Amino acid sequence: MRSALFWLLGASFAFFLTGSAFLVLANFGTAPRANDPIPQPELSDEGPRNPELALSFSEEELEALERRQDQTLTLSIENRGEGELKSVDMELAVYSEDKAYPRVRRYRETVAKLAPGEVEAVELAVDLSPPRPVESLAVLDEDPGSARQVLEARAYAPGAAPVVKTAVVAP
Amino acid sequence: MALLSVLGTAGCGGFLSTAGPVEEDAIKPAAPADDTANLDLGPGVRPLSLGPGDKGSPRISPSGDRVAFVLDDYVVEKSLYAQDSMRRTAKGFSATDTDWLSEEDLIVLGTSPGEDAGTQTEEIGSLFVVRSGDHPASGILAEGVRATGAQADGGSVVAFAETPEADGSMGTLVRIRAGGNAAQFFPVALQGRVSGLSLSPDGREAAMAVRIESGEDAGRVELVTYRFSEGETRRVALLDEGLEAIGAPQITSRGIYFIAGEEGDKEADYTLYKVPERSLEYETVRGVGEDFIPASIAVSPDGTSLAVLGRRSSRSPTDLYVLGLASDALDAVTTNENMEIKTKPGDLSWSPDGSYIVVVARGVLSGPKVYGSPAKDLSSAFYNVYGVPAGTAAQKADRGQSR
Repeated sequence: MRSALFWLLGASFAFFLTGSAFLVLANFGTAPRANDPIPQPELSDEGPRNPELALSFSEEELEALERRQDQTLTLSIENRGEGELKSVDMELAVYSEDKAYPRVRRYRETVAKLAPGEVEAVELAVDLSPPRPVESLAVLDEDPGSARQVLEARAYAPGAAPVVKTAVVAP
Repeated sequence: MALLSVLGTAGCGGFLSTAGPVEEDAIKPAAPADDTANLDLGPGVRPLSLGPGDKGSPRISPSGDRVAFVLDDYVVEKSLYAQDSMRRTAKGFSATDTDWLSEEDLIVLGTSPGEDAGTQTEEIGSLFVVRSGDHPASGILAEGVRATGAQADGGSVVAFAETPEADGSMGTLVRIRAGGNAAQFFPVALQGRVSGLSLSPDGREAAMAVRIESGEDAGRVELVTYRFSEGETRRVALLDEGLEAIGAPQITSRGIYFIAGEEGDKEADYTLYKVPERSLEYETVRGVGEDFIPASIAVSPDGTSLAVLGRRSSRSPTDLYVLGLASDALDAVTTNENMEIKTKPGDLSWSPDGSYIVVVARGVLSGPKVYGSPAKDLSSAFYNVYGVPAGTAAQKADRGQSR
């Protein structure tokens, strides 16, 4: 009777020990918390930081933009996390605030690798010429060149929260 | 067993979190809409719309829950503070003004895709009713509509339609009531063209600014009223030669108020006038101050106050004021620092309970400006609709004295 109890306790202990070891090993193999579909707030400044993207426009180039084709606009993307990002997809949508001219011009670029702390400047040749009005619309006499221009930039990377910056340019 | 369940929960939770690919679209950017919190119209002012697009003709529904406005060339309605916009006119419809007829029905001034836009000018359109669940506008109520007016708390809408075959001296006032099934037509004898139309707060009387086209007063502007129960027009004032009315005269508890200026003048010499009750002479409204430059007015639903868009002087920014008609006191309800406020007459209106006033404004941009939010979440970057509290409790009490 005593030996049966001994074997039962021993087997239970061995089961818990083996199970714990497997769970610990499984946790070693997971990616950081930032891969959660719902981003969690940072609890403290200590420990590894989540992948974090920072996006910015070249203010100098924004100031110089005109309502014409073939202009250069530089977007800078920075990896503010501590892990390397294997790829960052960037998109710039350019459109008029006037929805009577619904055309959106889109520009896409992918940055292959972005090391922690690295900043990559991406040059885009953008077209800010006034769009031709849609003929079916009655508002044909308005000047499309008088509307503000919207430049909406987004950056996405696996594991990082997407970032959005919107520049509004007055005519 | 307890230890097993604790270990299982903690460990498997971490494991499962990486089991599937991350859906990028499911992750919303954490950046706040920094634009909406930084309004330059003063405390208490709240945006009622967001995002790009030219807005105009903002109107609060009779219950005060929803706002309708013209967005570029179509009409949308939405909850006051939620982004649940619903398009109320079909693609290709070109709207210029809208008003609530009831909690669900809208009156829209514009041109439909089937109409010959070439025959419609910027000032003349057709009047449509858009019923609940009726995506495209229903049938035309009236054509050749030059101006519309509505009760601020809903109930009825009036429009002036020029009669095409007439000699220019006749037109029709079209009144549509929320409870009625059909529009009522009132033939009106006028000496010229209507440039502005409004409805009294009780809906029983219309006021019009008319540019006279024939007779010895040709070229001058007269203000006339039309009482629906009597069916006759009455001249209340004949403006001096060279003076033109801006927008629609407003019927208040203290007479008829209107803005006028020299023809061709661009706001510089606009003045606020009133025609006191039982008077045929107009006079300047002294309560606003000598240097005040009004741009647009709207009477409150109870008829005791006037919302006035204007400037204290030629060097001041445009602000929204409330004129208490009993005290003749002007109170600023915005402190505009860096906003362009639209001053077109149709772009100023009251909420049905008179607690706030609705305007359309956008931030002044001297150069490019970068925001940390998508364009659809921005307010001051584009023309948007703002609700402005109509004043402090003391100011409201002061206005209440005149009831």
